[in-house]
Amino acid sequence: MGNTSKIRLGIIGAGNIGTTHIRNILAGRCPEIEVAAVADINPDRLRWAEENMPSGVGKFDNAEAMLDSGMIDSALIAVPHYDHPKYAVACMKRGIHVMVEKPAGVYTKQVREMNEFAEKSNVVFGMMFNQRTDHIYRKMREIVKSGELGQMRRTSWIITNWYRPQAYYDSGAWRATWSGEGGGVLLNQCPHNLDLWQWICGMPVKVHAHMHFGKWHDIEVEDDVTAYVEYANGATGTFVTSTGDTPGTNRFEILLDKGKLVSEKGKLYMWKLEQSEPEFSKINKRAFAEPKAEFMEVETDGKSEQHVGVLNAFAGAILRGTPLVARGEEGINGLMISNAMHLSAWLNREIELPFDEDLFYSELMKRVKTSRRKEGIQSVVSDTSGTYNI
Amino acid sequence: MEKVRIGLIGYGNIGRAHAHSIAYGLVEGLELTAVCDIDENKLAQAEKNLPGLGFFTDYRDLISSNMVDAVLIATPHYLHPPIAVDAFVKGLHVLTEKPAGVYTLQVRQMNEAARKSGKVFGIMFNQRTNPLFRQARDLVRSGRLGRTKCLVWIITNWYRTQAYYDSGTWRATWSGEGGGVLINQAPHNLDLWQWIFGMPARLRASCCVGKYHDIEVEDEAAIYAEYENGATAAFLTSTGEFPGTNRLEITGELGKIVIEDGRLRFWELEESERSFCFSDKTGTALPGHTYREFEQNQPETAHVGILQNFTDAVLHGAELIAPGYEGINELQISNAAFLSAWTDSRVDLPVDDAAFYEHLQKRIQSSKYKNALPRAQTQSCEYQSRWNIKW
Repeated sequence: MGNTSKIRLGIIGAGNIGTTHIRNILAGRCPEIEVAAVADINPDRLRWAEENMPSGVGKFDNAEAMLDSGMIDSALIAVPHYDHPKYAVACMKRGIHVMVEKPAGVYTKQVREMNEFAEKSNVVFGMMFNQRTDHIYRKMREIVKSGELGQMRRTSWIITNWYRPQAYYDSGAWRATWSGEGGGVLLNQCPHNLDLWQWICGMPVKVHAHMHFGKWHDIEVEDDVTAYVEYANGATGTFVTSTGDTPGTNRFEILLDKGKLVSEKGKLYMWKLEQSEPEFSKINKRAFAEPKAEFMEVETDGKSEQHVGVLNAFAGAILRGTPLVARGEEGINGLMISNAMHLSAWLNREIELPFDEDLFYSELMKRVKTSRRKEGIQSVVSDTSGTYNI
Repeated sequence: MEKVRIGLIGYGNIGRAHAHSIAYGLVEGLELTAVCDIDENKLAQAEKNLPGLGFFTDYRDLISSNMVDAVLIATPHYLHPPIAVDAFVKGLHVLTEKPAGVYTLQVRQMNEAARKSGKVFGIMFNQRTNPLFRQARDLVRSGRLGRTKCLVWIITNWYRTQAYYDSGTWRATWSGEGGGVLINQAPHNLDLWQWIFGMPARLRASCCVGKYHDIEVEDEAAIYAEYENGATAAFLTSTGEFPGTNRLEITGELGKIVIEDGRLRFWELEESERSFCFSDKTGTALPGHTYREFEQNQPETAHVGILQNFTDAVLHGAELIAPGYEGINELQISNAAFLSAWTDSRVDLPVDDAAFYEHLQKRIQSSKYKNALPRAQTQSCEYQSRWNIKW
């Protein structure tokens, strides 16, 4: 091994997000990471690497060559979604630690296989769920999991500030096609939110989704979803998302037996009842009484390290065994919810979890078969900082 | 006519509040001349509180008494239409409490009778007097918000205790009330939804029966609706949450409105999102917008406002804030929501009157009328704060 105070990271896929990660590392924000090599099938991206990175950085036009080169001990996978599991497994087979961009994959079957492989291998396996570093979401999770507010009753997330104009969808031939991307808003923007939703509120047992495909854009995949879910304890949930609304809203609300949490505009508000509503209801005899509630804005540590935070934790896990921001195995959770939403919309009925993964795969493949991969798209790599909704 | 003589039918919680505000002269041009209640105890209370009026235990006697020009119906819901029909036949004006009825078939009959009579027909949708909801309606109807895209209303601050549900034998039973939150509290919001945003074309709903209370009807409901023009709506309501939420969000091609905490917030885009979407070349840009906030600076005139407006309509031909004919709209939505939940399927609007009625009858058949808890000695005769908009 080389210098043990830095990991030698290989980037598989230098597109929008891959380039963002490279820029962050080159800017010195990840003192324990060195970008040792870059792999991309697009010669333009290798040219970019040539022009913008130190001369010693390895450049490969295929990932396997980079993985076999001996130049890296870890890899960050930032290719189109279908190939996330394939490259992750390729890394694990070679004992290379792996960080996977979201989503973990397109369909749970392939992600399950990846997770099973991870279990047998001895590498650090992480997911790029950078929004988990946000102080508000961390605090929400802490409060909910502590039981301070009792059992959850309802969770509603209006997450419609993911606006994308048509030009965004046109910027890559793979984008917004069943065959290239594997889905729309649920597979690209919302993996963050679905992961956070399950991370904080748990996994639902029933999903019913109303989905619209190419409603606001000329695309074949979904850009507008309203989903209704149920949890094992009887709690209910709603999830509303769109890439066609602006200015849009990001408001995450959780109602519990003993209070309420609302996160909006970078603030977290809490209402805490003196006694839980069920307790109050049992002893109260007055028709129009109400429980007493205290309202407060919740204090947090204000930190939100995002992508850099996830990368630094990844390096820490490799070098010292310290915790990841998001373990790779957890990537399947949010994907199960989005797969269930797709299946619900395709079959026009409620889906119970766990659902038939082969059925999902066959429904997906039906759409992949008739998918129209876009012709004549000039691949555009943009500076997408500012659109990650942090 | 210089004054409208009105008779109250139903001296219950809301009825007595109306009666007393009229009797205390809060409504110019309106005079309370008679009260009817089938419960002799209640009627005795009315006689004690409001001496000198006509008192009846049968509404038909009140209607034929020649003591009234109009009636105010505040009975349990099933009776709103039949009483209204009889009143119209007798040539009286009618102001009915919400909801218009329990099932669209009976309300259709009521609307027909109203039309034939040519009399003034109003419904107590007092929340329409709130300036914020009116402003939202104007912004949508005037086209300032552009083509409608999406509505999301989380209206879960209708908290009610078990004691509330136990306080009346008719409450929260299929046979007595005809439903739960969707038929009692939510009609205000369902009406405002359609008043501002229009009637949906189809919907899918989930209703949770007795989730937070020991009742046989729903205390939580979630509705997803679609419009002819492609817009969608999500409506969540509950009587089991505390503190709950009241937040109405409306999005159009030209902007967004949020009404919450007694404030209307308005984001207005510099250009239509639809044209921006296809003209932008960067792929990462957002349209510019301006932002404004409007506080509710005058209290809503609420119930008294509706009573006054009804009186003005009778005396001076004023336009009704809440025409009785529109009562069927919110009922279409709630009937469709029930039907969707009962049949586990999507329901198109307008609802199949007969199909809904058949399903409702099944539930009425197995409905259990309850024993009421003994009532408290003193009953307030004022409008309770829970009947106003709660932020």
